Amino acid sequence: MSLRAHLLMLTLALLAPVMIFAVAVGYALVEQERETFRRGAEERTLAMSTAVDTALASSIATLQALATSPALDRNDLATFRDRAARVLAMQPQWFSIHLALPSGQQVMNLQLPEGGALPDNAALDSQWQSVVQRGAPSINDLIVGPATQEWHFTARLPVRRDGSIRYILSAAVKPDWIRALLDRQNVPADWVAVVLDKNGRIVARTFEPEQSVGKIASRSLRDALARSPSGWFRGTTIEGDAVYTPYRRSAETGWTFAMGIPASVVDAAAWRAGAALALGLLAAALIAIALARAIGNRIARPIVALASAATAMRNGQPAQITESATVAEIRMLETTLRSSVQDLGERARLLDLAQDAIVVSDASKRVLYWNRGAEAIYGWRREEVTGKILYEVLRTEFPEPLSRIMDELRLADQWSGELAQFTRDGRRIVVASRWAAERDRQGELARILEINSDVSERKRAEVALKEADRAKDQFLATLGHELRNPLAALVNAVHVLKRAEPGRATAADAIGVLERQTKHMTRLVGDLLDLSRLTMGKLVLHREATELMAVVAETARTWKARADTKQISIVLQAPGGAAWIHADRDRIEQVLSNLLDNALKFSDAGGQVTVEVRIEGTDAVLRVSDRGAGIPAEALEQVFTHFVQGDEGRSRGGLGIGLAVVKQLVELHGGTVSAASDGVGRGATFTVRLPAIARTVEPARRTEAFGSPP
Amino acid sequence: MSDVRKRILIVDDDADVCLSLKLALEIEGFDVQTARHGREALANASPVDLLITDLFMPEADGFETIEGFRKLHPATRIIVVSGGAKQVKADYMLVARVLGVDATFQKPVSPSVLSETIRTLLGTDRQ
Repeated sequence: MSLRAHLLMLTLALLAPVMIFAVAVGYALVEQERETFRRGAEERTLAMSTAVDTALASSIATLQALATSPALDRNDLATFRDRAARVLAMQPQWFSIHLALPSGQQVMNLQLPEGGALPDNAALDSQWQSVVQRGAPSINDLIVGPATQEWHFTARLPVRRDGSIRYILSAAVKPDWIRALLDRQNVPADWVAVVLDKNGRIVARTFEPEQSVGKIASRSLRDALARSPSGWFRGTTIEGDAVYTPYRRSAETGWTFAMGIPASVVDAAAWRAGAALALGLLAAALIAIALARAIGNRIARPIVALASAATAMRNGQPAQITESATVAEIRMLETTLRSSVQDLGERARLLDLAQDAIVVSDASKRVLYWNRGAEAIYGWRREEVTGKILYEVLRTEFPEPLSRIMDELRLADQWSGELAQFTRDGRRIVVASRWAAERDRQGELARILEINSDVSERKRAEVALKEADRAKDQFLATLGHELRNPLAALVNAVHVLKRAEPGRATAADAIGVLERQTKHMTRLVGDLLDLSRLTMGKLVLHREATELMAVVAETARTWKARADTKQISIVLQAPGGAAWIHADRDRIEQVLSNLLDNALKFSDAGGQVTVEVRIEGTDAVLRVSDRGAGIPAEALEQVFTHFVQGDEGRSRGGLGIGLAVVKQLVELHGGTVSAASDGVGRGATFTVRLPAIARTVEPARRTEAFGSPP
Repeated sequence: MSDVRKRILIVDDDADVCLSLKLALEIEGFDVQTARHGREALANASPVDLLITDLFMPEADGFETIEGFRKLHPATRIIVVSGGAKQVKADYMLVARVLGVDATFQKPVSPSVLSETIRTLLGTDRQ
């Protein structure tokens, strides 16, 4: 769930109790409103009821005034009739006035002609006897007049003379009078006001007055009257409309005043209050939610930005963090994260500065991180190896099974050792590798941090150094041996010369030994000194235009004697004629001497050594071939390295520096030397290439050289 | 000097070493023959009294020569005169002594000293 949603929920949580409280208060307000309304209606009902009572009482009062007439004292009915007629004329709401004896026999009726037969009230009015017995004024129920055939009610007044009731004076009143009274009360148009007689018959009604008069009141009103003389209830009108009804029955007259207030009016007031409250609450909630959203956005936006920056950072993309949050804590977070991002950026650049390969992989050795150093060492780009298994990409050769390395890593959190790996272009390199374990929260191995330093060069140098050291030791041993042999020969020869007679064959032989061995030692020491000077770059060439074949011919001649003693022939070939070079003649002689020495040393008796001179392209080529011991393929590269001798070479003597001197001298002349052999026992060929120069020379000397093979 | 000249065989791949030692020992009164390598020495039909051999030579080296002589001519006394250890870190003279030669010398050895040793070994002390 998002931060915005949480803030919204917080707002709603705060709003909920407020709303519940508001609804409760609202409900109470509505109830109070309804109560106030009710009380008002009831007060109005009381007033109206009183007004009706007063009106009825005024009718009685008019009758009482008429009853004081002296004509009645004298029983002068004719005079009284006149007087009553004058009163009736002043009371338009009255139909008629009539006078009856307590027995019920009318003695005067203004509606009927004087002297005619008059009706008996006791027969017409069921209440007659009670009126006579009570002897008090009363208002009778509504009846249809026998003469008028219209609804009216009667006000009756017992008239006393001499202490007893002599007459009952009555006035027939039109119900319209009561209605007029109601109309004057300004009852709202949609309300209904109604007056009932004791029988519950409608005397007057503001709604549909003509049709209503004489009808029995609604069932709900009659039920309410049966329960209580006054009150408030929810019922229906005679038309069946839902109404609230305040009512009151008068104690004096027994008549009832009631009002029908449409339920919709009463309820509407409550509904209006409720609706206003609901609308208010809704508005408040909407405002609260909008504010919560606005504030939530202000809080959430920088946090969301931080979250996406953190994600970007994890994916190694540039993370933009603006310190723009208004919330202090978030601003603090931004500042901290920003400096962390900066630190991480620096670390990443630092990792890329390293020349070592720095790799992070997961527990199954899948690459997660790969620095520039790794790209440089292995030739694989980061995006090419990410997600791949490291040791498969690099075809790593482990010093022990990988499973055992992983066990050690799990146990000790680190591992180090040397690995052989292959670069993208297939080079095999040796790296010093250090691993560190990163664990997850459960303590399981999660990632492996690895730094690999390319130690191939160092390894090669170590091997080369070891080899050079071994070669040097070997050389010293060889030197000792090579010097001991001539020394032994010299010591023996001196011993012989001391005792032999001079001039004898023995002495001559000894002198021969002395001569050969001193020359041999001289050349040995010369080679040593030359190699030393060449190695230190102190040898100076005295170069001049030199004809190669001439040098070869002369040198070969000096070696002829030694070749002969071994029964080996030296054959010279120069198919292309003269080959001029810019060279130190003595050094070229030395090159050929060393090559011949080598060829003779490895040739057996009866063998042949061929020396060839020719021009190939821009090179003057000197080639010395023998049919001797040959060179194993794996030793070809090594033959020019000083102090290095094949097993064969060691057994045949020599220091192992001749060919090294050849190589140095040839290279000093700007040339190259190479060795070739078809293998052990198949002879060897050494080829020296020197830059040729153009030169026109004495043809005679060339011919001589060419024409006189040794 | 004894009436019967003692016979000595010198085996060395260096021609001048062979020649000079032969001349020196002849002056000392020995009958000296030479061979350039062990195979040639072993091929020599006539038995000799004493063998002087180098250790490192092409074709059968000194060790083979010594073993060969021990088998073929058990009576022949053997002296090793070697240029010393051609191989590093190995005392081949010691190996030779273990093989049971009568004396070992390192080149160069004085012919006088060598002669004395030979006479002692052959029991022909100078009169």
